[in-house]
Amino acid sequence: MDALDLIREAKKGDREALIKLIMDKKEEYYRLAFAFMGNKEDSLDALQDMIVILFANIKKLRDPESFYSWSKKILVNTCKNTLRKRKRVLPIGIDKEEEYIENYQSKELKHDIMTYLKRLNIHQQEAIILRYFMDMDYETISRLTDVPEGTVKSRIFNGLAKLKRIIGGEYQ
Amino acid sequence: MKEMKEILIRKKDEIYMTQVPEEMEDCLRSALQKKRRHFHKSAVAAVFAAVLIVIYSFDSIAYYGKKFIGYDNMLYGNLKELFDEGRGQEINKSCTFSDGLEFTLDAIMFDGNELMAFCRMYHPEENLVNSGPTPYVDLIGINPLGYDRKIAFGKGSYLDEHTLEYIYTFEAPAFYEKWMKLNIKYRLDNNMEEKTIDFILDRSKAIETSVQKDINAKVRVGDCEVLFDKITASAMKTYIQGSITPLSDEAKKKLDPESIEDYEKYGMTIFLFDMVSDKGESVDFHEGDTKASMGKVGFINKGDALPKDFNTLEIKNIRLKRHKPMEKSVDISERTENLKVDDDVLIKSVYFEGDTTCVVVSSRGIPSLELYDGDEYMETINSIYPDLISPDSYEKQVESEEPVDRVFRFEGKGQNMRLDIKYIVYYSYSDETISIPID
Repeated sequence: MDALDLIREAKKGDREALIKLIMDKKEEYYRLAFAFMGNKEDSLDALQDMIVILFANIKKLRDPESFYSWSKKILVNTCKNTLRKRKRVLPIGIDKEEEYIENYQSKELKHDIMTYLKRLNIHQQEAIILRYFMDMDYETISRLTDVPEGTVKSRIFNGLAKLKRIIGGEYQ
Repeated sequence: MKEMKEILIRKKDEIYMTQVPEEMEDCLRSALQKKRRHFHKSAVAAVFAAVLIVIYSFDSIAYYGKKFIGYDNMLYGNLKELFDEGRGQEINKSCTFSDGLEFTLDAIMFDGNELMAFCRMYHPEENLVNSGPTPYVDLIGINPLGYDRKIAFGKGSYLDEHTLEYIYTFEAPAFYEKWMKLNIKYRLDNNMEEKTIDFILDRSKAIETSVQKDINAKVRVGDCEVLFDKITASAMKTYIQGSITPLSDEAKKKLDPESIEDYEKYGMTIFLFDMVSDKGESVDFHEGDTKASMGKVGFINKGDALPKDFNTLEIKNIRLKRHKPMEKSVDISERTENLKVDDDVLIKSVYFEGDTTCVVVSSRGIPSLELYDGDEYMETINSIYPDLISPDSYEKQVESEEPVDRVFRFEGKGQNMRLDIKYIVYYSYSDETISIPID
């Protein structure tokens, strides 16, 4: 059964068809969730949230060909919603934005880059994660996040500039 | 910038090392069975397992004479054809790190714009799928700053648990370069070990430029003048170079917003065009760089290789697409009339037909909308990429001089229904077509 058949079955309410659609590209889904959430349990939570939303809404999906982009968009939104809710919690070990890491030049970051990324706004995090961690080009990010390419570029530029301020070091 | 990129690339490699948990399928099934949104989190610590990369494959790799074998999972289209034909330059040089990891530069392939390095990593004892080496790789020549590694095309594939292959892409070395070095930095415990593979760039093996031609054609698009300067193409890629000159102060701010205020007022403008050959084959352009200078915006649009058989190329549907960000939310849970969202956007009414919510939006440009039920994303209307998200293409809709009423209907209604107006899209088209005869 190919993907389009599975989508048709899933639209009829077949849960196993929907699970198979996701599991057929499990690496892509899991890595996308992991890039945002940074750990296994939260990534699996996001994937669970995603599949519940997919199941509830797949009947409304007008173009079966767009299943994978549609479902990834939902996964990204699910991850972002979770991160938004946690925004008030400051990462452990960072007391102020101006913190500089003395040995940045030796490439020994005091914290994982994800810790610093969480200091950016959710849109900047999203754009940088998709661009640099998921290897997506501007056009693909634009499709997935549904904002113009120019906005994607501007979010990446501003996000990197802020990362520079947070981490320190050379940035041109 | 290089430092920052290096950190980000390293993190990317870490993410690709992460293995999919065995329980993922059970989790998905359990979520659907329980049909609830939130689940108790297990106290399992996150572990970065070591998988360097994208695709797991047991295809064999070898280098037979002049034909490259391997790298199958990472190449497609015209690049795959070139690779299958054995184009490029054989290098076949290795270095070995103190833990036994062997790094081999199998070959390079380059044209006037980019250089691709085909690399292989082998460890006789370690299971690389679990431990995943993440070396930093730099390309250096006479130019001491080296050549930028392109983020978008760094991909890898496992051949077996001890071997993986990786393609790195860099900007092409300058014309004066000959003696090149691939510097490989590899972290072992807390030390960074560095090795170098030297090679001589054999320009006779370069993928030759097939087309290099001045176009020198100007067209008017909205309140801008577009100059198509020249076309350069090889079997690897096609480049169209030119510049856009705004013909008014407002056009300049639309084209190249200099401040946040300009951006909020006018949004961002993207320059687009279609290219087809006289045989009807189209060339997809999916990358582009722009640079503002001296009151103009220079552009380089990058596309696939040109088709093999044609006499003339045609550039048409030359257009400027402007997205003005809105980021406004409208409550559509109850009847509403004449709600002004922006100078160009009025929600004329929200009403209900049975279980359907109807929203009448009046605007000159085309509104792009997202529907939410509470925090839950439902659907996108008039996505800027309608082929992917919403099949109702609006590409052919044009900006009206007077506001137009558009009625949007959504299944369902409820107290948490919300419509996000993400942006308004404005198009300016040129009626002109540019013909490029190729000798």
